[in-house]
Amino acid sequence: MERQRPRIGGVLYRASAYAVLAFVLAPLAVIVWVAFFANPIIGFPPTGYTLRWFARAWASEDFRSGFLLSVQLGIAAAAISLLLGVPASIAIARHDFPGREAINTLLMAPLVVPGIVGGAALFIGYLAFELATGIQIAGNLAGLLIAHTLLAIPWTVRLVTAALLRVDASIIEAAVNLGASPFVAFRRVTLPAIRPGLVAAVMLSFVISFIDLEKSLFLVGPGRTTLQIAIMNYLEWNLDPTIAAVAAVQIAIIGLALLAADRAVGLTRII
Amino acid sequence: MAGVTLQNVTKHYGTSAVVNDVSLQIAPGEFAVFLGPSGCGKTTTLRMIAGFVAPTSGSIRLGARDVTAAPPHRRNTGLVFQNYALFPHMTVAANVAFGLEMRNCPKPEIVERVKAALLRVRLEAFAERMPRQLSGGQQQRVALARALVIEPDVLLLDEPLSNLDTKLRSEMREEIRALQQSLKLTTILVTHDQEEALAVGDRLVVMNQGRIEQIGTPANIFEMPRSRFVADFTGVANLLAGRGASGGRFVLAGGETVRQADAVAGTEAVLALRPERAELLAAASGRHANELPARVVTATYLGTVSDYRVELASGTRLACRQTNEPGGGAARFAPGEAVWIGWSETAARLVAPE
Ligand SMILES: Nc1ncnc2c1ncn2[C@@H]1O[C@H](COP(=O)(O)OP(=O)(O)OP(=O)(O)O)[C@@H](O)[C@H]1O
Ligand SMILES: [Mg+2]
Repeated sequence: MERQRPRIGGVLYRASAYAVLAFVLAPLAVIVWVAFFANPIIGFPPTGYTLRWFARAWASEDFRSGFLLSVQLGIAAAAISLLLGVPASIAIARHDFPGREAINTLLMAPLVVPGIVGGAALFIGYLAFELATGIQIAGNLAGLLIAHTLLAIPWTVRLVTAALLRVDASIIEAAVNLGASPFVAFRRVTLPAIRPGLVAAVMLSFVISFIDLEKSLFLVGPGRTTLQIAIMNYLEWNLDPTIAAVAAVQIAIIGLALLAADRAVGLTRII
Repeated sequence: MAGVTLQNVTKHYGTSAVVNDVSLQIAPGEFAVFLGPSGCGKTTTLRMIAGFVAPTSGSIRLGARDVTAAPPHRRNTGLVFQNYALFPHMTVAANVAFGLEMRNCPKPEIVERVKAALLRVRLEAFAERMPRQLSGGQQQRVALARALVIEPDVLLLDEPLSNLDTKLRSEMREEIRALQQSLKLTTILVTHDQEEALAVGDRLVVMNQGRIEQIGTPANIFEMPRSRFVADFTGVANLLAGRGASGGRFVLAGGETVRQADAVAGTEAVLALRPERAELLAAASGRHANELPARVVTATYLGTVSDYRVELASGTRLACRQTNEPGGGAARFAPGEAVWIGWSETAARLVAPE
């Protein structure tokens, strides 16, 4: 339609949209570019190109273990938030119960609270829990995993609920009418219909967990840092392209996950 | 094959009774039609039989089996939804096979029966298509095949034809009727289209505000509506209030006295006269028991017939439908023309006022 009647307004709109996009993407592109510079300190112009920063990043114990921990955390958080989030979404989407709206609002609350505040609150909560029960969770993997699951759940519930609400209720009834128990009807009819939503939820949960810095800050223990915290630590003393190489890898991983999520379901339609 | 028995079935939502004390017996192999205006509780009744709505009180039996408390997936009913509700991620064949899989049918038998079911609705060539690749009428036939293949105790159709265009609708109507007859399947169809109801039903159940208004054969409902509501709903456009007088006479509210065979002296009633059962005359002919002078108000040419509105001297208005003469051109009478309207003493019927 746009092509049929080019308007000055339409052209301006597109131009400004591309400008904003360029503004957002340019730093990312520059970081990836810099990761290949031969310069020993980040700077322009490039004196040549090399892959050695990637090798150095991988050789660094901090980055490697941070990366592995972040990947594990991301996968575990995505899996747990799916296990908890899907039943919650079913309850929200299928049943009209008192407090349903309140739960919906509450689920969105973590998006409003600054991450650093949430992290501090969790830390204090963990300490209180430890005082009461003697079980330590602050500073160990369990505490970190709980925090990351909490990060991911609102997104999972939101995406899965939206997917469930788009499923035509009559096809589920049709399955039941044909002899499927409610469980079988869910597995055979509802699940395939919401599969794109589930894929998107997993991908997005992973990304949200993977890029988290603030919540983890309080909760990591000695010798157990996430990639984001490793990056921050490194930046305190160094400014060589190793950091750009790490960032480039990270951008690639997040980009792929978001792309997969977007392919599965028009993400932009839901967020 | 099983019959369906509803006994004092009532459904309340909050304080309003959506279905109110409905008792009904549908014989094995019978084709029953629930007919009524929007919101009268047809769908709710059907969904209670399928098990998706629990009655507030009363009982439902399929054959000898009391299913009032049975979950929907154990009822063995075949429900066809208005929007077809095909599984979008399954092929046509997989859609039809679903019910058989749920019944743990052996694989070879499933293949055999799916093939036969698709053949029955003339869709054997479409077995591997996805539902979205089918037209509305084809989707409808898949939904029908899917419901039929499980050999349900009762086939339930909720306005199955309302999403189809007029021509396809009458074709599908005949197809459904033919299938029902060849399988001798107990069937309930819900509609608010009286023509559809008359065309397919062995028996019509006219519903109004959650109650059964009248049950009868199509001819019975059409010719002998018992209430003003049924008469109105089955297309009796002329409903004239009045009071019976002695000697088979009926006095209209406008003051005209007409001959009416079933009039009872002193009883308030409503004269129900179908537009096509009255005749417009250029002059009094003496051929009808009732002939009243009138004036044409509107004339609408509809091809085979013309519809007229005429006004009696008292101001009472009547609708009248006349078959057009072959090659006769436009409507025979024009607005403003003085005419006579005539009908016999058995053309109309008295029904109870509301
Ligand atoms: N779940 C529900 N909660 C409250 N009221 C309902 C519910 N389902 C139906 N009703 C009401 O019950 C009445 C009957 O509904 P039903 O769907 O049975 O009508 P219907 O005869 O099928 O009408 P239509 O021809 O429009 O489909 C309507 O007034 C409707 O608003
Ligand atoms: Mg309905």
